[in-house]
Amino acid sequence: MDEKHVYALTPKGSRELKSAATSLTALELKLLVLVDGQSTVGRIVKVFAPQPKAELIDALHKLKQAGFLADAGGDDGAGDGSIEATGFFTRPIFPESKEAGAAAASQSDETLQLLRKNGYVARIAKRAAEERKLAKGEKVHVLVIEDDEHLAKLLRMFLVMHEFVPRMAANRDGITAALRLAPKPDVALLDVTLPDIDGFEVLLRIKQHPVLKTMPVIVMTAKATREAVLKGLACGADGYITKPFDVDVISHAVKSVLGLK
Amino acid sequence: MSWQDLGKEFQKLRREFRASLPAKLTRMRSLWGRIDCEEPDADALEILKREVHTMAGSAGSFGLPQVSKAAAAAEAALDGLKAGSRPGAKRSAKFRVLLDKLEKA
Repeated sequence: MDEKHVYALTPKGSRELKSAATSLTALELKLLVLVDGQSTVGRIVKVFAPQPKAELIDALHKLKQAGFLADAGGDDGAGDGSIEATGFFTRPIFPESKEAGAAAASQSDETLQLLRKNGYVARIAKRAAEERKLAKGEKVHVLVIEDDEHLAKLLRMFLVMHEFVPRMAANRDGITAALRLAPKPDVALLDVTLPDIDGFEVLLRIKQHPVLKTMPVIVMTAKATREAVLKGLACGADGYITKPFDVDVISHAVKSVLGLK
Repeated sequence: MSWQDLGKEFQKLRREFRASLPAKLTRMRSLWGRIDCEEPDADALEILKREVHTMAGSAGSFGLPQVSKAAAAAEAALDGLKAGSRPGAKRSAKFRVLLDKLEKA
């Protein structure tokens, strides 16, 4: 098999990625996630280093034989577009820099760990690259975007108890107002089901904003499907927590993405 | 505020949340009535989906797993229902049973 060869998902492969239960091994599943109709076999194999190349190529071959993959651009029904609609496979998975590449691979690892171990219950948060120590008296400002008033109150109370400074928003206007306030929040907790705007859109807007893009965003949602988790991570979420959650999980996630101990 | 106070506040919020459930259920029934009719209201379906989804997420965080589970089942029962189209008799009956279940949870 040529390392320049490119595979695409078949409809069967797309369905497998969205299915409630997969029979694939962790390695096969990870390969399936990385196949995007654009990346060459060589590039995909690099992500798995130091895993033996022959083993990976064999796994790809088996996935093709089983009908999960097809040659990109072939006429055997590859790429029905359903996965692309989530944005996951249109997102570059091999960024330019080494560091970014490692981060993407690490994020992918976290996703796969999640899929393998927890299935549909996500409690993941990226670890910040560097440890951060707060100066004396310095507080962490947390933007909480949550439209359920009771849950918002609970989160606010809990954050105050942990000596964070919460800033609340429940809708589009509230988000805009909260983001205009100084200082810029250190981190955002985002409920993706909001009354007047899609939370994933909010996430994308934050991640495309020149100033806000470095602010970690932790998605909180009752959407615990594999597709939703992948969508959240593909949109740039730094953490994904499915509801219902224990509030301690929130504190852990906030500290993790900020590099706090 | 001490951790003991936090515990008390949590119990207070939990009671508030529980007390808010009957009104939320009434609203869900009303929204369903606007969907399961001659001229289904597309907006009502979107609102209902959001509300059962929110309840599924929040209830569990307040230590009410049965409510969370019932709301999640109601949310799942709305999957595939197209905005502006009337639900079939089977789906309609199923959803009403799930609302009853939610009420008893």
